[in-house]
This record gives sequence, structure tokens and C-alpha cells, in this order.
Amino acid sequence: MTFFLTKDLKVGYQQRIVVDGINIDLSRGEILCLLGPNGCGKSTILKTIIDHIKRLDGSITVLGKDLNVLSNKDRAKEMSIVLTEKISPEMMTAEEVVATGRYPYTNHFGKLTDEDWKIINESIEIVDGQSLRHKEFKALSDGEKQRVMIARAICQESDIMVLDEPTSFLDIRFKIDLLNILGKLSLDKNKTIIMSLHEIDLVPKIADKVLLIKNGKIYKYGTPEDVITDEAVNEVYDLNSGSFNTIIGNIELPRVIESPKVFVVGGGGKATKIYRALNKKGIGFYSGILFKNDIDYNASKTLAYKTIVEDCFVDIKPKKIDEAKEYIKDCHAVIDSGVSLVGINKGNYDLLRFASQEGVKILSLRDENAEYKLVKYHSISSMIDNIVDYL
Amino acid sequence: MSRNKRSSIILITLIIFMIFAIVVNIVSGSIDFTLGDLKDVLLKNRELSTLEHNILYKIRIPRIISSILFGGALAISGFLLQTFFKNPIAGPYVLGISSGARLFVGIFLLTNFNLKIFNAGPLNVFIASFVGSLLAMLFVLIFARKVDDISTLIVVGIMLGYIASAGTNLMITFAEREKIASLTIWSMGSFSGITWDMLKVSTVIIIPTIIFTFILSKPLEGYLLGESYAKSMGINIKTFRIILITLSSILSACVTAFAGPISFVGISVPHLTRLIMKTSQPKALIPGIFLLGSSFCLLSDYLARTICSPIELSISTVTSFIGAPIVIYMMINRRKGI
Repeated sequence: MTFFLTKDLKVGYQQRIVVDGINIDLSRGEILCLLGPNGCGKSTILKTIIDHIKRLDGSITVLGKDLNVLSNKDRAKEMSIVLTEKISPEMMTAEEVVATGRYPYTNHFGKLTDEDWKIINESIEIVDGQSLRHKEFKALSDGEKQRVMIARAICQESDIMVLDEPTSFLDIRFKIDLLNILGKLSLDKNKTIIMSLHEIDLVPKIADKVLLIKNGKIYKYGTPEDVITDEAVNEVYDLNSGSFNTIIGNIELPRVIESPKVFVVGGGGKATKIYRALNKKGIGFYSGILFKNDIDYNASKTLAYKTIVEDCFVDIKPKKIDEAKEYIKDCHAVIDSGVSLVGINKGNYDLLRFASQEGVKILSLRDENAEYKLVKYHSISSMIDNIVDYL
Repeated sequence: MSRNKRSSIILITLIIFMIFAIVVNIVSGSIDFTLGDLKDVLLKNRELSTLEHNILYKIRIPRIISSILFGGALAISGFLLQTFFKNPIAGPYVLGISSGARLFVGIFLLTNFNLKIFNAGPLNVFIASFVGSLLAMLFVLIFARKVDDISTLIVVGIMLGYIASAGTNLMITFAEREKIASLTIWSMGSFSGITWDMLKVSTVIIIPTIIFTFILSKPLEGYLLGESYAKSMGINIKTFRIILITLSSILSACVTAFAGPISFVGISVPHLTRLIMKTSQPKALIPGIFLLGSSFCLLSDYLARTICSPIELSISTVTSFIGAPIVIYMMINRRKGI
């Protein structure tokens, strides 16, 4: 059953429409993520939902009741917020900041009852903030502050929580903690959560619904499985095709355009870091021979000048080996990532042998000895430094 | 120790401190009236002489009451503005209120501009100053509706103050020397010459305003996290903004009108109180700020009267000498917290 609904919502400032045609429907306890490039209107939509700017047109309803008909106090019981703006109240402990969430429920002088304290304590426990309690809010780190603000929102006991980019300024550990907390709130406490996020890779892991926005238009709305596709993300964010992979949630920087001088024999995840290191130094490279399902394949596809690919789970065919040999002849060096050279992968062994016979220098990260001539390295960085000198 | 208990103890200490300041003011001055005399009179062991009666009831007690009222009012006024502007240097005199008052007192004292409504006897200057303060605040309020950014609003306030000062200076250029002197004396601020009538008027204005402020403790607390969060807690921001500024300007306008501009009480006392009480809870702070503001002015007035006796300093001289270093100290030590 639809709990939160916007219909033909139009948001913006007086004359200027920022986003038009926003239609959202959420069941109770669902998490909606707003996704889109900077300046696409995410914050404007959130600010309109929390009524900090007046909506231009359309309706926002909770259980069929328009939010505009609610009094300030009732609205506060319906919706709590966590904003990006940083607050620095003087002389307030974390606990006191959390307690302000009880505002809509306390009496005229803001007296906190035992019941209020119980809820405040629970909220602090949910965000695991017991140790922060009596510390001054201003002195907390960004991650701790964010947790306190979430506890504050929790103890406001609203059905809906609206969060504007709650993960910004947080390191990866806090991001995960925070999204974990939000996930639990939606599951255990049945909170409906509406938030904007920057991390495309995290959205599918937390959201039940996604609103993808581009240039003031709703690009797509629906479940993350439907909405977040490689094409959609690359188009909304104007990325070169293939640089974002929604399946593994990986993003690569643009490829260097220089013509390749190195051939990387990769596979099994041994080569992705080598690709990136070469790309950082501005060295173009060929890559091969990879199976289509190899974990190195995605990075190679984006970063290599040319990737030689073989179908999954079959022996490398002679045709592919010949193609690779042609490229190797053009190269100043071959990098041996240390990939397995037996079984269906034997084709790559042939390649290294060929390079050795042709007198192309082989730089290897392999631990064991091989039957071909190679120069051993123990780290990617020392190898790359050497290549830079050599080229 | 719980917060509440701690706050109560500090408030009681502040009351004792204020009583001490009152006694100091009663027993010091040009005629001898010792602590022993005070004790005797209070215990009804002896009557006051006529001279003592005149000195106490016509000079010292009105000054004490005005110090208490005006000091408390200025401090609360500063507290309200600091809450509103989220800026520690916001005070009645940063926002052009005193300049507005001075402009209007200037119009009254320097020019021959005389309207019938100004024929209110000794309250002339009061009315001029009150109107000037409120007009200045009205301008700030008009701009408050237009600008979203609070620091911009402070700049607007300061600029309005400059415009008012320029207007006053323009009049000074063309005014007679004696008239300039009377404006200068008013501008320096003093608790001398306050009559019981003036005290009655200011009590009627100040006490209800402060009680009303105290009743607003809860929204004031909500305001501590900024307007966006205050709004999300259900506070009607637009109305509350106007209430805040109006209360604050009534308080400072009233004080400025009777005692002239008195600097640094409004800025320094709220900070000092927060520092002593280690809390931001308006419920606890408001009484504390009032008490400390009163004591601050009582002691400043005592110093103004006695340091260079028989010459009396202006009250602003003393409050600035004490208040400005306090503000500097607190700005530098802001990072240190609870």
C-alpha cells in the first residue's frame, strides 16, 4: 500500500523550475535514494519535501493526506531531517543535541519526561553512540556528528526520515556503518527513508527505490535493479561508455590516448592494478588474453588500447594467440602479471615464450621460475618505475 | 552532578553575587554610609538622617535599580540577537540600533526640529531614542525578510549603523557647540539622573519583556541547531524571527533611551554566562544572563563612580574596558568546550 506519494511535483525557486514531473510512490519502510550529478536538483527536491522551500506545483501526500494541511507540529511528528549544513551549537553535549528531537512532544517548557529519556537512550544506542553522550557536540568528528544527528532524527519518532547526502565527509568505514544503521531503521523500525547519495556503487545495496535525475528531468524512477544500468549511469553522469560498471560497482578514470608500447598478460585479478598504474603514468598498453568472465576484464576493457578476449571456459584458440603475437611484435616490453599458465590458459604461456624468442623484454611479477627469459620484480611500483625509465 | 542541580547552584551563587554588588553600591560614594549603618537601618536600630535619606532614595537606590534592570535587559537583548544571528558578535550596538537612537536623539537635541508630541518633559530624549532604535530595527527586519543569509544581515545592520552615524555627523557639523556637548554626554551613557518616574516606565517595559523571553525558552532551545532544524521541529520560523528581534529591540531601545548607549554588556555577558554555567539551555541561561548582566552593570557603575572620584566616568568607559577583553578572550578560547 502506498504510504508516501508525490504526484506531478514541480520544485524550484519562484520563476526558475529546477525539476519537474516528480512522481514517487513509497510503501512504509522503503528506502528511496535520489541520484544524479551535482546541481541536478536533488537537494531542491528534498528541501521541497521537508517544506523548506515552497513547492511550485503538484502534491505530496502521506497516507493520502497532503502535507500542506498539517500543522507545523504534526509535520514534525511525521518527518525528521538530517541536513548537509554543519551546525556548531555552543556548549551542547551530543546527548543534548539528540534530545532536541523530542521537541514536538515535550510540554511548554520543554521538560523531558522519563519516557522521553528512554527514547533518547534508545536512539543513541541504535547509532552506537553511548561513548559520545557527554562529549561536546562541536568537538566530535564528522562521522560522530553525523551519527548524533541521525540519533536526533530517530528520537523525533517520525515515520519518514529525510537525509541530504548523509555520507558526505565520511570515510568508508563510517559510510558503511551509517548505511547499515539506515537499513536497520527501515527493516526493524519500519521507517521510510528518503535521501540523496553520491555513491552510485552504494545505492543498489541500500535502496528499495531510486530516482535518477538528469538536467532537471527525471531520467528514470523504479527499483535499483531496473534503474541503475551501465547505460543509464554513463548517460546521466556523461561518462565515457564502459567506465562505470554497475555489476561490480567499479569506476575507472579515462584511458590515456597514447599508442601502446607494452603488452600486459593478465587474468585472475592479477592485472587490474597494473592497468591502473600504467594508465596513471600515461603509458598505453595492449591487454590479453582474457576470458570474458575474468575479473580483470572490466578494467582492461576501459583502460587498454585493445583487449584480446576469449569466450568463457574454453581453451584459448590459436587465432587469438596469433593476433596477440602481432601486437607483441610492436611492443617494447611485455608484462607478465603472474597469471596461471596451465589448463585453458596455456595460450598465455605460448605468448610469453614467443616474446622471449623475439627478444622482447619480459617484466614479471611471477614468484616461481619459468622456462623463458624474464626480469623479476616483487612489486608493481618498482616494475612500473623501471618501465618508465626503459621507455 | 546533574545539569539542573549544577545550574541551580550557579544561579544561587549569582544571586548572592548580585546582593554583594548592591551592598557595595549602597555603602560607597561621596558621603559615608557604612556597612554598620546599613545593618542598623535594616534592623530598625536607627532612623536615616534627612541627608542620608535623600542620598539613598534620590541617588543611590535609583541607580542600583537602573543598573539591575538595564544591565539585565541589555544582556538578554544581546542573548536574543546572538541566538537569532548565530553569531557571537551580534549585539544591539552592532546592528545599528544605537546609531539609530543616536540619530534621533541628535535630531531632537541638535536641531530646532520640535514637534508637539515631543513636549513630554523629561521623557523627550527617551521618546526620540526609542523611536530611533525601533526604526533602525525595523529596517533590519525588512531586510531580514529579503536575505536568507544571516551574515549578510549583520553586514546590512552595520551599514545601516554607518548611514545613521553619517546623518548624525552631518547635523553635528552645523550644530551649536553646547548642543553638541549635550549629545556627546548622552552618547557616553550614564545611570546618573535616573528618576523614579523613569524607573517606573522602564520596569513596565522591561520586566514583562523578560518574562515573555523566558516563556520562549523552548523555541529558543530549538533555535540552537539553526533555522532549518528549528523548522523541522515544528517552530514557525517567520513568526519567531520577528518575535526575537522585536523583543530584543524593545529591551535595548528602552535602555538606550534612558541611559544612552552602553557597550559590551550585550555581547560579553551572554558569553560569560554560558562559560560559567557550561550550558546552552535557555531555561537556565536566561535567569543567569539577567543576574550576571545586572551584577556586571552594578560593579561597572560602582567603578565609574569611584575610580576617578569625584569625577564620574561614563558607564560605557568601564563596560568597554572590562567587556572588550572578555570578548577577545572568549573568541580566542572558543574551541575549548565543556
